[in-house]
Amino acid sequence: MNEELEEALDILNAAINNDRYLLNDNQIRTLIDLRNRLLHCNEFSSSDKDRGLFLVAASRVYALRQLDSRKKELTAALPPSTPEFFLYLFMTPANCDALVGDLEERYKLIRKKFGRRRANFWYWTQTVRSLGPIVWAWAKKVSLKPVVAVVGWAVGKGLLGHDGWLAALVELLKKVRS
Amino acid sequence: MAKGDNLGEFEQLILAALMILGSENSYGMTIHEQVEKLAAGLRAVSLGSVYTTLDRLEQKGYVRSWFGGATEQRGGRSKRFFEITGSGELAVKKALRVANNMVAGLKEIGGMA
Repeated sequence: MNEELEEALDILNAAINNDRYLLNDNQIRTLIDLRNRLLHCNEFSSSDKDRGLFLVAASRVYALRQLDSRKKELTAALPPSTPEFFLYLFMTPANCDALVGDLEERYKLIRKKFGRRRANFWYWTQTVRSLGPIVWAWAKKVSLKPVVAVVGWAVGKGLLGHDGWLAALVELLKKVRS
Repeated sequence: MAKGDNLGEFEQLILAALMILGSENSYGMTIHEQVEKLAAGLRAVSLGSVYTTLDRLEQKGYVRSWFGGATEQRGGRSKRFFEITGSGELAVKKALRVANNMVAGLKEIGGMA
């Protein structure tokens, strides 16, 4: 078998034995070059079987490589996920989905126009600016209600301004726990 | 009228944006854009504040919302559409009447020159 072809087959075998088909750019270039030469000319003296095996394997790696780059392209088009996580902490899932969907829609437009870095910066800025009012609304809904309830109860009982209000509050907490 | 029924400045802006956009085009991002246009750079508007205000207005009964279909452009997430209700329109009209009275009063003393 031609030495060049034998070397290429070794690379391919190593790549196929590796689950993730990790090849560096030079190896891929060599394989694609060889594959094209094998497809279009008869300069190799190896048997038809070897050529066939090589072509099948090379096509497989080539297809995987293309799939991989498509995957990378798709992943790179998505906005960063960390700011999205912060929004999910403080909003209901349906509301958050609507807001993140709006941000993603605009992110893709900005990315097309100004590139990934600026689009990421815009996304982060929008999220940080949005977090203030969202956290405040969440705090009002979640945290302030119990506080208002306790203060209301204390006022009702006439405990505010009374020395024993703290003891009464502790007693109330004990009752609630039990 | 209870104090909670009065509209704040930002709430007025949001309701005005909803009236301008109509129910078919009113979702988070378009409302945000319209409010920014109406605010004319005089105040900062974030998408989060738009959503929290819309939620508050919905609780007051001035706005109703529903979810539309998911699209690929939005990563498979659905749009939340908003529409102003009859009582919402009434509240805006009341707020405008108060604003008009203020303008007329200021004009009388030459304060709008």
